[in-house]
Amino acid sequence: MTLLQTLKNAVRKRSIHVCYVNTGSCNGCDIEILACLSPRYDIEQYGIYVHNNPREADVILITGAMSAQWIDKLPDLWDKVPEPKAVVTIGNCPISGCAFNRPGALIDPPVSKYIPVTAAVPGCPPRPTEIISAILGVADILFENYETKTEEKP
Amino acid sequence: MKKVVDVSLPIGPVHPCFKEPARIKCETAGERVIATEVELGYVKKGIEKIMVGRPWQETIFLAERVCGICSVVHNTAIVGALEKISGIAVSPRAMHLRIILNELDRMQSHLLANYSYCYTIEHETLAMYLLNLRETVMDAIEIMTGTRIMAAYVVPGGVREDISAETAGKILDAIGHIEAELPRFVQMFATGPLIALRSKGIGVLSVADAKESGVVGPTARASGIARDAREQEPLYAGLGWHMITRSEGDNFARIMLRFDELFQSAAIIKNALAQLPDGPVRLGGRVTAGRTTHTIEAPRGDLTYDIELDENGQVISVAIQTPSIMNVEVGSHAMMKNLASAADVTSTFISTDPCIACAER
Amino acid sequence: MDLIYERNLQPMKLAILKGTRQDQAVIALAARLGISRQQMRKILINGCDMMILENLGPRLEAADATAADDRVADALSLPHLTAATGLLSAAAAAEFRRRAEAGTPVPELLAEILEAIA
Repeated sequence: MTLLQTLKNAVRKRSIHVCYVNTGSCNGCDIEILACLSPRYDIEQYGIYVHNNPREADVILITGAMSAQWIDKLPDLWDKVPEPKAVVTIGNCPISGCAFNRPGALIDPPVSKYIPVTAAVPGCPPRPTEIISAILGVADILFENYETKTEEKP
Repeated sequence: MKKVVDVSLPIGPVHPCFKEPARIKCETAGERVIATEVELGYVKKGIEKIMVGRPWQETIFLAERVCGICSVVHNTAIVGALEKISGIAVSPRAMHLRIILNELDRMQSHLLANYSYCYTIEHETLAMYLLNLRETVMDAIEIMTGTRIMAAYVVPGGVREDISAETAGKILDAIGHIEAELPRFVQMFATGPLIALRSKGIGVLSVADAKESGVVGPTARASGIARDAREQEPLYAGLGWHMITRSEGDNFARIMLRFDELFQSAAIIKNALAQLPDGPVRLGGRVTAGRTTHTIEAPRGDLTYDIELDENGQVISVAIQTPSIMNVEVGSHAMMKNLASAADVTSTFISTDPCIACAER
Repeated sequence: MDLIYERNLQPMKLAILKGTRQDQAVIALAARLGISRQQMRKILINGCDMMILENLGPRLEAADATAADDRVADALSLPHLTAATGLLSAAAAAEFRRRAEAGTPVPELLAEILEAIA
């Protein structure tokens, strides 16, 4: 590994920009993401910054179970995010629809039908610590030697 | 030739300074906002439709998941409706425990609302103070129920489990911590010149507009409308509850009213813990057929459940009228009429404590 | 032109109107105006934004209270169409009220109102 690559890895590890998208959750998971911002968990000490701007994001946090409005907008939003990028889904809803996945509901889970999902944090809702550790875990895999990885990609 | 360009300014659903999953299309002339149109459907799940035909046991969990912020109050409301239909008695100790949990829920919701407002007007320091204070309340809720959100603590006939004297002491400690810390933050908010500049006289909700859309909760009380469903609950008056109203009706009044209510909630919890009667926390009963309308005061205003059950305890029809329906509507239409600057759209909207998940269900 | 984020909202607006509380409000308003529920839904979907549709029940209740002590407004459902839903402009409502007070029969005016809001 070149010195430049080592430097890049080290810097990127401390600069993870997050955008969260509510695709039909009950706000429970969103509030747990917000709780990560509080000084008790202090998400910024790990170099994770919440911006809510897809053009600036590395990691997209998705909560909710795909409501009708997002079916065309979510792939659109995913295209806007620059590489390297990853999706982490928060909560049970993006995986299975949780309690809402019943006949007659206006949702269409799972989210992985629409965009590729890198990691999923189950829970209804998961604790803030679990959300932080998931983002950190994904970031390590995602940014480590990103340039050499893209050359190997088919 | 003078040319006037009328602009339509869409905000959302993913927007750096607008965190709610909704889309507001503002019609502006220059910087002045003339009218707004709201586009929803981003979190519509159709919970009312899912509930139909399900046994009441399942509706309790679905009702909790209408809103993740005020899940406790949805739980209390639907259980209260079931008890009203079936005539199930609740023990005095369980009633006190319900009030304690509901007031804790109100505290965390109000702290979150004020956090969101401070964050939206970019006063991040105060926002973080408030968010950290909220964690103290969440700890108290966790000590009491076992989880932070979606506790399903309230069950027909009482509550799920009793609290020990040690737990009560821990809740009192948390309340004491909040009562010690909060006055400093309230003073920061009340006297901060930049906060006043960005909040006073902005997003004024007149009484006529408020009456027209049936607005409830802190948003109504900040405009001078004395409306609080806790009036109907006799236990609250004995615990030191009284109506708090303000007359200005602007963003500043709404936030300050929530601060005032935080102190009141803390006092109610302390009184309820002091007066906590002995006895069982869970009485028996059987859910029967019937129909009722049950209203209780959620952190954001009146929450009404209109529910009809058949003899097997299955839901025939249910209508959930959450306070956010009225408050978001008024926040996105009446308050934005003739707003001086497009920069005030997000902060005015957030000042009503909107919950799109509640509003759409 | 490819309009990003813009789409046909009609199915979602209909989903809102199918909610229990909203459906009751639509039926009540349709009965006031003497039209079918489907026609009422169509008018509301074309004329109102989604947040007003969600809040239809409380807004119409407030309009009912306004109309209760006003015979002309009650007969023509003027508060329901102006303040509550915004389907009719205030100027048009004032004109209809003036004509009703001048002696024009209510059914004739109702037909004109329906034409105006359709």
